Amino acid sequence: MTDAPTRRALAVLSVEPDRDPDVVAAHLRALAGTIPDLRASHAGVHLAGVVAPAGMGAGAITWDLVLDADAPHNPGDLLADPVAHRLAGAATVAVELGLDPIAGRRMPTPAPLVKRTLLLRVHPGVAPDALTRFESDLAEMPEHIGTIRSWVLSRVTGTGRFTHAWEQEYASLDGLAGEYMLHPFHWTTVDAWFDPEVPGHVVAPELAHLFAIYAGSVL
Amino acid sequence: MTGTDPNLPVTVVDRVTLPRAEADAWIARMHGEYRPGAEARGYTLAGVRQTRAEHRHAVEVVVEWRLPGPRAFFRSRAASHDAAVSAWWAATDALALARSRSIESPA
Repeated sequence: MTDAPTRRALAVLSVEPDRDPDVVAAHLRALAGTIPDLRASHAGVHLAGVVAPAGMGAGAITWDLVLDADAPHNPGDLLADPVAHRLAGAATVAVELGLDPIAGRRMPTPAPLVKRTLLLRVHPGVAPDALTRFESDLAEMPEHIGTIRSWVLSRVTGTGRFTHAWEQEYASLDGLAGEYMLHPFHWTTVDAWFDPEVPGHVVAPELAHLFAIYAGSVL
Repeated sequence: MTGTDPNLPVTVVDRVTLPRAEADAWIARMHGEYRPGAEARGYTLAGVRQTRAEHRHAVEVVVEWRLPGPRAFFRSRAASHDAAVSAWWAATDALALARSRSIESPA
């Protein structure tokens, strides 16, 4: 064990139809420590109800990785590593991204727990003060919504289809489907940034609203 | 701000500042072009009002909608990217001097 700095990466994997997503997820989790620089590997199979682009829906997998900060890999590289041979042909990378956290909190949550990941893209050219206010409103949600346990708001590094990852953990699915969705702070304040009928909204239509059950905390 | 009642009513308020000479025609188009789709998405029209605007020769039209709760609101949001909705607001914005939409909960 070393205290060397680390970084997080995340990928969404499409699972081939002839493969069992739960088995694929187990193989992904087992990669932790077997590949140099890969400190932790969490994988959750998306549950029914996720809203996501093609290939990222129910039965796809969110793969969360903790890597050495200077590791050159991205998730796709790791899938191609010989150590990951049991995953050959089982899954393809639908999207992969690096995470630059800008706010968050850790709160122990008994297993099993639900992790929700919202991947979103802020329109290019949004004014900096609007972007700051949007991020601030997202980061304020846990102050109002008591079912959110650990959470991290990150900007996505590099260029790609998403600019932000908004991740939360819940003790149960009810915490996400219930209080998170029902709280007025969500639908009066935060959602306005997403609503194309609201002048000044900043988020593009394509979202990935992903959630899965995990055996332990990811964030 | 508290409360996670699934039956908490949701109020949607559009405020559109229009040249006074255009307001009646815009309201008529709103009823004919936007309202049917909004009602299909679960909105109920609660009122259409107008008041003084800051701009000279303009009027602020206030359109108020209701939804029975946040779940109905989010169901309505699933269709808010429809091309007809986008076209309606693009046409409105081409005409309007100012516009806002607020989503409101009971205090």
